[in-house]
Amino acid sequence: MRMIRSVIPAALLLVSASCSGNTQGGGDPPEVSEASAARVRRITRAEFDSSVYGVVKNPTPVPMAQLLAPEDAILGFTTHDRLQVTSLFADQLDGIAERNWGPIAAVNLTSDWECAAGKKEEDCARAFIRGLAERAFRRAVTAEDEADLFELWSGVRKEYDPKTAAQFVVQAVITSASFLYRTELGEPGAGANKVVWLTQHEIATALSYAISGAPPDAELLAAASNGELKSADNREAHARRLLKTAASQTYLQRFIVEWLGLTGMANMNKNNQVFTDFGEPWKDSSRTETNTFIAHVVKNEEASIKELLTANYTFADGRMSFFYGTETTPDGRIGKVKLPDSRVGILTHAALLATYSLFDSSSPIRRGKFVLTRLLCQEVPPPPATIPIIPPAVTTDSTTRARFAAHTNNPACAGCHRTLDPIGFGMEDYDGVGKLRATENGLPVDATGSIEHSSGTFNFTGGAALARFLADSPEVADCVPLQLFRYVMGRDEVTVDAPALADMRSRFRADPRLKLGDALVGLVRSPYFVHRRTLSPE
Amino acid sequence: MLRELSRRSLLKALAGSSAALPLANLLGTTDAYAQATTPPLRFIALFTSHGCLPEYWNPQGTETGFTLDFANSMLSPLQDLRSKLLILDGLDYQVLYERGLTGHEGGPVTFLTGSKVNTASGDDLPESASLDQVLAQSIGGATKFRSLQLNAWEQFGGQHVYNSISFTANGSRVPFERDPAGVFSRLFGTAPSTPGSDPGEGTRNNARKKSVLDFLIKDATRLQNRLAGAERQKLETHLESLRDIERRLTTLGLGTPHVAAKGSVSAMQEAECSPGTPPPAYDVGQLGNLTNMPTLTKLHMDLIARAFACDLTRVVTMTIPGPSMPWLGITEDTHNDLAHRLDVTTEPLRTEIRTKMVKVQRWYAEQVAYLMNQLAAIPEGSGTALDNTLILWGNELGDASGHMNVRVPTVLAGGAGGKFRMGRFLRLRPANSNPLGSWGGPGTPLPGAVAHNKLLVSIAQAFGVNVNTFGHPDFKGPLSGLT
Repeated sequence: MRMIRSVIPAALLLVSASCSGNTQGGGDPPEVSEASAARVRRITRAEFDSSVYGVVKNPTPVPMAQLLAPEDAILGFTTHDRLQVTSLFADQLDGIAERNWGPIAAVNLTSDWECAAGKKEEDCARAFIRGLAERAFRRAVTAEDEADLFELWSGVRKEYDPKTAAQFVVQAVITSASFLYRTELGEPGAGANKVVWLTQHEIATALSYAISGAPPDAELLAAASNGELKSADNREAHARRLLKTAASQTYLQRFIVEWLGLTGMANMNKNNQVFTDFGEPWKDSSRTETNTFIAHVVKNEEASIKELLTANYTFADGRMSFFYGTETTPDGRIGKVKLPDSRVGILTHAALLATYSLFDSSSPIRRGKFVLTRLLCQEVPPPPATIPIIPPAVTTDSTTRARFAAHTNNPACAGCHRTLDPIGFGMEDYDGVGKLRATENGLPVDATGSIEHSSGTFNFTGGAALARFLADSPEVADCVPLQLFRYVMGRDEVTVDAPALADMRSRFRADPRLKLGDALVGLVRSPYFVHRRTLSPE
Repeated sequence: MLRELSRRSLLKALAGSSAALPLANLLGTTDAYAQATTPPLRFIALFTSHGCLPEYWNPQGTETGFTLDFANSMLSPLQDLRSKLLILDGLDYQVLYERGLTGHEGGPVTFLTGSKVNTASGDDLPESASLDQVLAQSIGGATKFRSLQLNAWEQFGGQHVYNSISFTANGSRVPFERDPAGVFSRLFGTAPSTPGSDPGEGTRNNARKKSVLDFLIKDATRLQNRLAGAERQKLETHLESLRDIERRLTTLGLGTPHVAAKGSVSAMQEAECSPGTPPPAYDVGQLGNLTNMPTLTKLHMDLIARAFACDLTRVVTMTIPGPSMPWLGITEDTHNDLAHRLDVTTEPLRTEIRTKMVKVQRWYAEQVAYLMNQLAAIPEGSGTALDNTLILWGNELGDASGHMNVRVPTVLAGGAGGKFRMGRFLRLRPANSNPLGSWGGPGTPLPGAVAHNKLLVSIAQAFGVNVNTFGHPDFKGPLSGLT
């Protein structure tokens, strides 16, 4: 057997690939007549980390890729499908592969590359290469993959010991296109512009990254090899299983942070002459509060958006307890405390309110825009170019609301600001760092506001009342699955996505707790999740 | 023996990889030799924000007899460098007015791309590559790094629109380096340096790295061959990055490190090429600490100068923000509290705000002067590296209080290798003319405007890129009066 293999490895592998179940679906008629375009997606830095651990069999996660150049955000999400391997990124990857993961893997994988006495070294090397590439490429290893990696191994082995040769193979594998891109292409050979099934391994990969931001595990790969992933029920079973993993929880926490636009909490800067609470310690405490709360909701409350928006508690240290005017933990360290009635859920967290404020005042416009775009998925057009946008100057003899109200008198601005401002005005009971206030500059604060919704206008007073309204809003319940779709799919929705989105929404809304996992199940069950239209050469 | 082996395997590897690559490498080397007699021309794009006050920004005097030395002059730190300046008045981001989105977000997007802002992705992005990337493609192949993207301090985090002026052809942001120590190790870190180590080790190491690259290129090419359109382009970017790494290894591996390749040039210049002291290591918190921004700015600029001295790259972009400038005693929000309120009419507030704005812009001008002086300290040919550098210093806004993208403050600096006539203050349209006066609104023509695309065309042409439009095709031809 081994002899035959070394003579005609290419032919053999091709045969074995066609028996693996990988191609069983390729020729099957598609379940849908339309599908989004085939594509490749570069993995994000976080996905690089979660993907590399399994390849190099590292017992503990070491998130090294966070040192690489950050992704940019599109639609607020860093997971978008325009990511590329630019020159800087390639150099940085080369660096961590050569200096960090290569040497670490050479040690971790000793039993994989070491060749027992009496065995042919070439056979050992080939077995090592196949195992490594199998783990890294999330698909069957082809004869070409093996041959090319073996050539690399041989070249290095000529002058170095087996360990070094193994190390260089690892470096090559974890910086390769086959590792860095997730393909959504279907089987080769279908022709241009055809709707096709994704391959079983592509489905396993898409599903796994969609639920957990990590590569498919052994069970999912086995299901792919057995051709089981055409079944929506099977996909759902795997999704429900993966939702319980720590990787999935981290991935969903990141969704919430990016969806609510909280990635800049660490870079926040405020005028501490206006906001005397503000400083590095406050910034740390408020950020830790919000991050801890999000982690709690995801881990202990099944990522319920209802809980996120309506919790009557938070996780505060002594500083935040004092800031909120609520009870404190016995030792002043961070722990669960009751929120006062003036606050409810994450929308009234200081870190969030401070994020949607200016340097030295609150910002009704930013807060209104946040609610409209992030929570209600509405588009807010930029101000017309003919209008000078000058935030009214901070004064000591008036309120923020009075200063900002003036521009709505301008008919060119009023069109948008009539919708935008009343939302933010209603949150004026919180200042620019989210502190509750009844007066500003000695004048009473007017926190009456209103928000337009599908069946009318809701009038309210204060941010907490708005937060409670939004938590019950069917529009928010429709918007969250769309934001999640953008995060998971890495792109804006297009017409063909309507059925998949409808599935996500109906499952999400079926349970009043509005659990993110249900929306994800709706997505991966959808036939549109597992089909693509093949590319057409230009 | 070892050396010979490696050399042979290397040549074999060269012969084995796809045809175009080794050819490109050889051309690259030849190019370096050819350029040995004429120092190379370099490009730096600097981006600062907030717009300006025209009366304090513009020089006083005539085109060739101007001064920057007057009360409240924003460019006064550049007074002694006047002969190396070409200050442009009346350049407009015309494309933003005629093709959609104006305002802040448009500025950084169109500054180097000349593109309209495309919001289809939900984010503000251009539709074509930025000038630095086009130049990197065209001239960058002669150096180890096609281009560098630097950021003095990352505002808002995560590649916010303000931090990015460099874009790939598919309209996505080119990531930048904000840590000077990271830039240093990328530029100089790969040099084999341990004294007393096996002299063949460097070559052997390059040979095995070359084997890795051979695999990476084959693997990426296989994937690319399955793709079309924009998806194919992604892999093309990837392959370009790999070829760049390969090119760097190959020049080293063949025993002709780049500086030696210039051999016949001045011994002086080789002496100037030194990594110098590595910058201090800053952690993420320190890099995010605004009070470190002046130090970080200088460290990055020192690295630009050293990279040029060693001819490691010829194209650099750098953004320098400034949400507030505590080191100048400016603790308010530079943008909202100063720039946007330059038209306040009540005194003494008016004077106070305008005086602070002058301080902000002077600080930026000081940084430009610092960079110019660093480059001027590097002897090159019969002059200095500054003589062979073109700095384009731009902004996102013109008159800040009005959020306008017309009359955007733009300065060309350096000797530009004689391509442009420096030492001038050039009015591109009549003083005080305002295209917005008769503008009909978004999407309609902006009469009398001078499209900044023309400047991008002129610069591209100066670097030997033969184009007649840059970015949006509406705006044709170079900018007159520069040469």
